[in-house]
Amino acid sequence: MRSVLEIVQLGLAGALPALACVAVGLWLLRPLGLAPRGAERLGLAFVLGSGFASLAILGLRLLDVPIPLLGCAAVAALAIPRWRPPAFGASPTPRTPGRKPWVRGVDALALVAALLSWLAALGPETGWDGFEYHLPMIEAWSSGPIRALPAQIDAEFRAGVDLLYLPAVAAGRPDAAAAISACFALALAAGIRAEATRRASPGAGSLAGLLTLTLPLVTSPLDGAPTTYVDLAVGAYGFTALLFADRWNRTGERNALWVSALCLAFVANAKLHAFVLCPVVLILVMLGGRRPPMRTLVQAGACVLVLVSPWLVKTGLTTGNPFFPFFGDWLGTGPTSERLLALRRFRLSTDVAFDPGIRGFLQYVAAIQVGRNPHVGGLVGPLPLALAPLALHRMTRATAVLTITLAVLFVLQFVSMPALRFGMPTLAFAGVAAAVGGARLARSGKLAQAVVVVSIGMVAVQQAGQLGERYAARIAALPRPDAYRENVFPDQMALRQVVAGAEPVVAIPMGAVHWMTRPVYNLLWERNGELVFQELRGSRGGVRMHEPATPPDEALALLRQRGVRSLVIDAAPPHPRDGRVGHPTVDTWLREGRARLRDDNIHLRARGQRVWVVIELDESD
Amino acid sequence: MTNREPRPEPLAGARLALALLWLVIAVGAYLVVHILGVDPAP
Repeated sequence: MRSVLEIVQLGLAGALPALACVAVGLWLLRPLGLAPRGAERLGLAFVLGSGFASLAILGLRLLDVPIPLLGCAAVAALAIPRWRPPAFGASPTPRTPGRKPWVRGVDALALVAALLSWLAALGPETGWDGFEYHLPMIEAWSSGPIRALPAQIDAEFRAGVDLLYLPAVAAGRPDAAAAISACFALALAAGIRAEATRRASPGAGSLAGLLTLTLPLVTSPLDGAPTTYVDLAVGAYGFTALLFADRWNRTGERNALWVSALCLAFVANAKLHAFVLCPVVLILVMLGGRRPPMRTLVQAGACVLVLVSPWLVKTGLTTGNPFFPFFGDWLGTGPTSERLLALRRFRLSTDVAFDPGIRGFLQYVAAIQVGRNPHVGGLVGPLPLALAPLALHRMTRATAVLTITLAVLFVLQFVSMPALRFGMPTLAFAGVAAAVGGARLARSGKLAQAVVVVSIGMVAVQQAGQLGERYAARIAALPRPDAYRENVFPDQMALRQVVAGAEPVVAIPMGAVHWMTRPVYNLLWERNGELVFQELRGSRGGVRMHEPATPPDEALALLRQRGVRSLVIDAAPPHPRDGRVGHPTVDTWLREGRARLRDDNIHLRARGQRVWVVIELDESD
Repeated sequence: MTNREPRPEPLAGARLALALLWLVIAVGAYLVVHILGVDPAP
């Protein structure tokens, strides 16, 4: 059980890196000619500052320079002179005192939701991706320089957001790492609020901000898997990049293209596939009615290239292919790249099953409003589809081009990556459009206003109830994290107990690597990128997948090369005393006397009726 | 078309009725599914 002092330390480990990011961002606002106010100012400062902070951490950790929390505190202190917004400069956001009392009430509720989101993110990570690679990878890079991590293939992908977890992880407070994810959610909400205020009204903006924070698309990532969902950061960077490209089109505002270019680089550093937003932004500014001079475009392109180049260098050094896993045939990581991409395509297709075609697309649109699939269902609630179409009225050329571009992106997402979290940059604009449509409907007479108020109120109450339910358990877990872990994943806590008694390095099947007290090897091919322990076979939505299991001899040699001396795997009861565990590769080893089943197993429960068993590899072989 | 955003204009007549009906149906369906626990496929 954590003491109050430990909880305060946890909070500081969560707050200081984020404040350091804000500090860096506040120093950037003036050179970039930006003068936002209030929540938008802090949100934009965090978005811009985090991108540069992540690059700084990449550079420092490549050279093995430590990143202590005290250093974050020192950087955060730099923000003090810039905390107050400058008195000069036009602000596109109305000042808060201009907001009506009910609007200030909505803002107060949003502030409470923001605080709860941040506190909930401090709870233990219980997302598979989070404890399988996001946190273990950063732990490895905090205890040694950034380098290739054998059998951790995810360390070869972009990790711009993950690096922001490093100060908290290095300080021994990994649960605090994901406070960064919550800050991206708050920044996204602040951006949507400000844009909705500009395009509709202060009331519509405040409601859009509040509803963003209570939206299942935002609350579900923060509910147990906050380090997993770097998609919140992709949403904030991508939304800002598109927003400033649109701002250039509408106003020609000085330096809008530079802000867009910065965020494009940051979003590509967070997830390489998000680089697709670069051509999207180019199309936006070329067709949006204010074509920039070629020289400016070349300079902005160079800015993107310079800021993504540190990751190109890092990946080039560790894999030989700067764009790994893409372009493997050209750049020399061919078979690995191909297999990885095939597996990812298959995984993406299994997240959500909709038939390709118009009918499937319509089902998809309906499902994201009211469905219950965990990757799609009801995640944006009913208001975007109900209100956003009303914003499609007397559009300017810039808004028309933006709308068409985002619609095409949404269709492409349905085709290639239907899980809704991948669409956060696009969906943020649906929030803005819903605010504009809602404001328009509310101005259409008293009856319309009443229907809008009741509808939004009912959705807000339902979402707030869901938020309370999700976050209450997380916040209650702050003093007792292990009890929470035990409640969420009893089988993984049992695995931890078994692994603690096995000879390291211990191979485990798809487990909570971060929770283990001894060095482990993850047997899941998707994670280790080299060993197919269990044959993969499947077909879904036209995507076929077949990876035969690695032959037993080859598998054993590879595991020994990685220092593995024992395995903990799950077997069906009754406890296998006949020398078999039901896994073809392990049974081959047992039959050939190259491994033995430990007889003092403690029979701790894995999933369902299965139990954990320990297999010791024969060292004399 | 210009690049200055016009202020959203109020709706009237059949458009207003349709918009309100659409809002009520969308919100109603959502609340039925998520409060009563109805589980539409997929």
